[in-house]
Amino acid sequence: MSPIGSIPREEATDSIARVDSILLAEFDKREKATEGIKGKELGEVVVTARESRGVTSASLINRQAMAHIQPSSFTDLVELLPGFVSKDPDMGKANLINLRQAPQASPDGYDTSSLGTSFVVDGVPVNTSAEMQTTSDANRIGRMTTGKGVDMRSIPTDDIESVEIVRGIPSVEYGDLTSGLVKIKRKQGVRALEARFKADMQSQLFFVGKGFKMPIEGWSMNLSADYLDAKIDPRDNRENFKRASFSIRSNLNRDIRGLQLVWDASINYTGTFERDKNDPDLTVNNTIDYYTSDINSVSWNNTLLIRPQQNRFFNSASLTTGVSYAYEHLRQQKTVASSRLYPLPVSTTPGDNYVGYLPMLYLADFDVYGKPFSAFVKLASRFRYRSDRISGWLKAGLEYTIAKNFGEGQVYDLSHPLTAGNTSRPRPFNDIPAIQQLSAYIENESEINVGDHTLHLQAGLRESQLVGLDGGYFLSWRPYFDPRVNLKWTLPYMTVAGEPMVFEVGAGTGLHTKMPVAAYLFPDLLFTDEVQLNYFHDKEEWRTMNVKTFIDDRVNRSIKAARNLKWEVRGNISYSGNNLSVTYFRERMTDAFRMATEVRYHTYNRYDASGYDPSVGGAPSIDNLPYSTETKIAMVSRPTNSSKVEKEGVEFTLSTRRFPGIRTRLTVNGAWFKTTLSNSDGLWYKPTIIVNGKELHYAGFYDDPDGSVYQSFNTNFTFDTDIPRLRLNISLSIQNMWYTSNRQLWRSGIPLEYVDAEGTIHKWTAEAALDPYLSQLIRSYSQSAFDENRIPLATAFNLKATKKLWDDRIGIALYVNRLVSITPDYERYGTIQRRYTSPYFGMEINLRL
Amino acid sequence: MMKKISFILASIAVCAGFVSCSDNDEPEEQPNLITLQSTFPEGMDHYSIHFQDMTVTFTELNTRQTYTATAEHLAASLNIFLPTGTYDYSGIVNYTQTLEDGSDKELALRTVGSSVTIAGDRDLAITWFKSTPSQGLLISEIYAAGSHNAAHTGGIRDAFIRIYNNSDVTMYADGLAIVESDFVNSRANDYDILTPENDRDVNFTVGVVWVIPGNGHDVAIEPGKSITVTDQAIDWSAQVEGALDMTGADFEWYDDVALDTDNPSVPNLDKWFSYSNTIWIMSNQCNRSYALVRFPEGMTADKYLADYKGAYDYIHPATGKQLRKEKAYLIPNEWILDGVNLGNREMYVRGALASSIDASYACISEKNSDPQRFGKKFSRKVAMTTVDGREILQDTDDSASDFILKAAK
Repeated sequence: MSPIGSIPREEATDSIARVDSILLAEFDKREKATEGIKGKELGEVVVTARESRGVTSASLINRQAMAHIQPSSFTDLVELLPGFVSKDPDMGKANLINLRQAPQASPDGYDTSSLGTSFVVDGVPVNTSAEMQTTSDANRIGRMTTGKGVDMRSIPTDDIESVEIVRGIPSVEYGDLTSGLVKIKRKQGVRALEARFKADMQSQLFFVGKGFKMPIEGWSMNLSADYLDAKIDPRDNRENFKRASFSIRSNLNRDIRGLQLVWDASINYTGTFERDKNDPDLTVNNTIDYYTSDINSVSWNNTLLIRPQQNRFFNSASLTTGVSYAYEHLRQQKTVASSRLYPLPVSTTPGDNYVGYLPMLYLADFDVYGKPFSAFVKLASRFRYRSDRISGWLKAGLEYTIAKNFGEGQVYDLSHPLTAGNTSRPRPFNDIPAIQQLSAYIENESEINVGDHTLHLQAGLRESQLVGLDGGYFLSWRPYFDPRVNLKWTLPYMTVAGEPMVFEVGAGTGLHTKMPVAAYLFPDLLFTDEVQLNYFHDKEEWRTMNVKTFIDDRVNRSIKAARNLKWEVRGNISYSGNNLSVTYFRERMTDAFRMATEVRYHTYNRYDASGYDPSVGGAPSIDNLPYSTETKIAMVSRPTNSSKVEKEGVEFTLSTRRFPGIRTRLTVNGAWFKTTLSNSDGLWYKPTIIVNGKELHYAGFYDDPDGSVYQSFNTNFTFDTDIPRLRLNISLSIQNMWYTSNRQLWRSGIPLEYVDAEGTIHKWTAEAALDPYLSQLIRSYSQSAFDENRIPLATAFNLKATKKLWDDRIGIALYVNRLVSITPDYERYGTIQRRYTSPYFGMEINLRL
Repeated sequence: MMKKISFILASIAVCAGFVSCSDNDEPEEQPNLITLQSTFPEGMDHYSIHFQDMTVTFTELNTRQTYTATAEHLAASLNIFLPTGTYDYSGIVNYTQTLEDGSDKELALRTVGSSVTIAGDRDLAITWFKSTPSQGLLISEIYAAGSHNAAHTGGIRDAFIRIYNNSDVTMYADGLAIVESDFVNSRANDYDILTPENDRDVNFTVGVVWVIPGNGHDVAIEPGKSITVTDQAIDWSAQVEGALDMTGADFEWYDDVALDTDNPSVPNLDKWFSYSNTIWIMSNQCNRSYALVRFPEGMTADKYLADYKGAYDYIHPATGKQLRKEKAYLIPNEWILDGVNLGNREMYVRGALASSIDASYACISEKNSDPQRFGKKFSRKVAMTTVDGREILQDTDDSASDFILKAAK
């Protein structure tokens, strides 16, 4: 049996983190036995993300790498993945994760990548299904995470022990994801008192944590707290983001009658507080308009694991539960001074409604109360089998999640809206049914030894469905099956110059399913008011305005889950402490979520008051006026599965051994990404124009792609020098983004067919192009609209240093990003494009007492 | 079309030009000799034409100093001494043409140019065009900024346009269109337009076309009288202190959506085209152009919509990227009765209208987005008052000199 082929430690950890550490003991023994061959980096400082040696592509980030990068939030760790470069913190908006995606590829309507990346903290996934916070204020939309996944600003890094980011095909033990898996394992066990104070150009961060030994044998407790105060622009203290977190974790490990029993429990609090106020000195009447968004979330997680101490077929069973609840309050206050006299549609009932007028000056209060609750239960079991040639694990488990928002939702006075022409109405979140998902999985992970060859096979199937959903939904009890297979073949090692050289090749493929969240299953109603009688008489008592209110239900009962098919092939060479990994991948998701427009028809009456004499009958009423009937085409956007996300790329990581003498290691990582974002279905479009006094009476259906191809290619060279004698670690990272580009996909602009106000669909004809009205449906594009926009090289030199003092009790660290940067000018359409960069720096002190 | 004429006597640069420094008598250091090489429209050599003085005025953009060259006749070549700097220029030659019926008509040639760099002796080619002041209906007032809103943080839409009969006969306004430019008269929107149809010397590219309803003899405007067209014909003074009462307007541009009001006693304009399917508002920044348009006989909305589409390609000045604007229509320049460019000194580069329609622009303020602009309207100067008390407004197709700013209330 080749010792190289042993299941590497990180691979065996594909279960919940705590379970792993127990099960790993056995592997650790084997690792020790093979240390001499396995690599000289063992036990050494690793300040970059390490490429996993497991069956699929994953990046491992340990404590040292995190300490070296000096993060403020989880967002900063993304830099360590192949394909990413350092970015300044942007705390003024939601920080979403887009794995394996060209950096500039994040237009609206393609949020499934971030929504479909699952964050699993100590075995419990972060559930964002019941997140519903929203605002009609377009300037603040970027702060919302509804339907977009996890906001990485809210995840502190200081109580994290290690992170594994699975970019490839994760084990079927993890579900409700399409694009990736982020496994976070937090610190546990007895630890010294740690404190960290960090300051950078935007923020200050303070952390304190300790692990205590408790009076009972095998029991330890960890406490940690973190506070971050970030100003989006350091010159402006009216806009800021604050985070406070607190966590208490208990770990009990006992042997009872031949059974190992482990009980982990944690109670966690995270609060995020956004503030954005205007400057009263800039408004004439000194009003303060403000936006605040507070999220206070608490969670309580438990894991119970039992494991017989003897080696038996039954290896372990675990029960993991997680309960989380958040109190979210978004509040906006705005002094609205209208520029015109707006009618005030306030009706919440469909049909004919008389409406009043908005005041010219008022104070608008807008509150959104969200109370998302989620619970998670997972029962997992493992079985171990061995024979001469085959050994491995069988895993099976069941999982149930429920998410429900108990919030009062959007609460505001309809007569004082944030904006005139408001098409929404106050909506409680607590009448939205709970989202429940039931899943099961079974997986075999085995190691097969044939001669000096080792095959490592992971094959599993996950089944999942939404339950408790209204039977009218396609998704109600609809089972989805995710088969996933990963294979790694370790060739017999060769000896080159007295040292073993090991080749590994691998491949994997699998389906990944993400169920729609509440915002997609239960979208807000759309309110439209069509004018039936507009009679603003000079005499106030005769003024009358009547509208017909249409309430368009935007629920799409045929919405499906988003499914991503991934495949990848990988190669890995290890020699003398050097390691090179290359992965080629492709991903294809044709049913990602998107708000797409649908044609609806609004039929209403037009009352003619031209012959009406109010001096006789007073204010006109729709009951005594002649009228005609009109039908208007209304475009209503609703959640659909019509986005397409295709990803292709090559990721590579080369890490050398630490060269003796100069004590420096070189890590080169990078990636070429090609991301195609487009629509997978034809799209309806009606130009927003008025022709001959009316909106267009037609809408066109186009099968043109409404999307772009994005590409990027980068390499990051990191030289890190570790000088134990000086307790000093210095790294220089040269980050080259060789190019980024985007190109809009070609469109003809000619509709395939069109619909008239009667709802009849017609094929597009050449004659239609001559009609004054139908021809408005032809969309024309500039010749250069489909040119590739390519931005050449941008190079940044980032410097980081950490120094330890006083028996490692005090650590000081600093970093400067873009200490030097090279961004050559380039020409585009005859104009010189200049790019400006400025350094970003921070420093910190760490105490360990 | 244009040809360089050399008929003007021994035009060997008589250069009767002299330099005048408007507020500074100190001798300029090393002025540069600039030779203006004029190109005139065809037909100017007709015996029936009698020219008066020719003047070209240069304004240095930083110092605002002005320098004027004059000639006592039409000079194909004219000299002027200018200090080093960047200049805008405008020129005028008034002339009298004797018509076939024996009557004399006062006419003018004009020239304008902007951002000319003078750093040494040079020749400067300038092109003259016929100025065609409108004789009948014209835009006499534009109130685009609106009055202050209730919080004094912006403007309201008590905006209006006034159409005046500058002739001595009753004229009819129905069928006329009021149009707004699609282009913005601002440096940030100074696009390089690639589509030839959208060349401002050929067509006026518009984003909205409002038409005064009627059958040609329904909306009479007597000599010296005007009609007012407004956004919402309501008594704004009852809503916001200091605003106007627009209930007396003759027409409102009513946008048929639940964001607008409709006064039943004020008729509405017809909206042939608008780039917006909700409300249309005048440029409250006062940086677009407006024109009064007489369609050719027999023009209908359907025919116009089918035949005068104005989508165009342009180069964005900042990114250099070629882009496409879809929602636009064309108004051929010969349909335009009167047109006015609006702008502010800080951002104005050129107007959306051809120079022959408006040689300059009516300026709302020195700086961009000046909050002082609210409550100010553009008003045409009175050229003379007739014996019977009728005012004749000045219309030299040069808005900078034709319009003044007045308090709207």
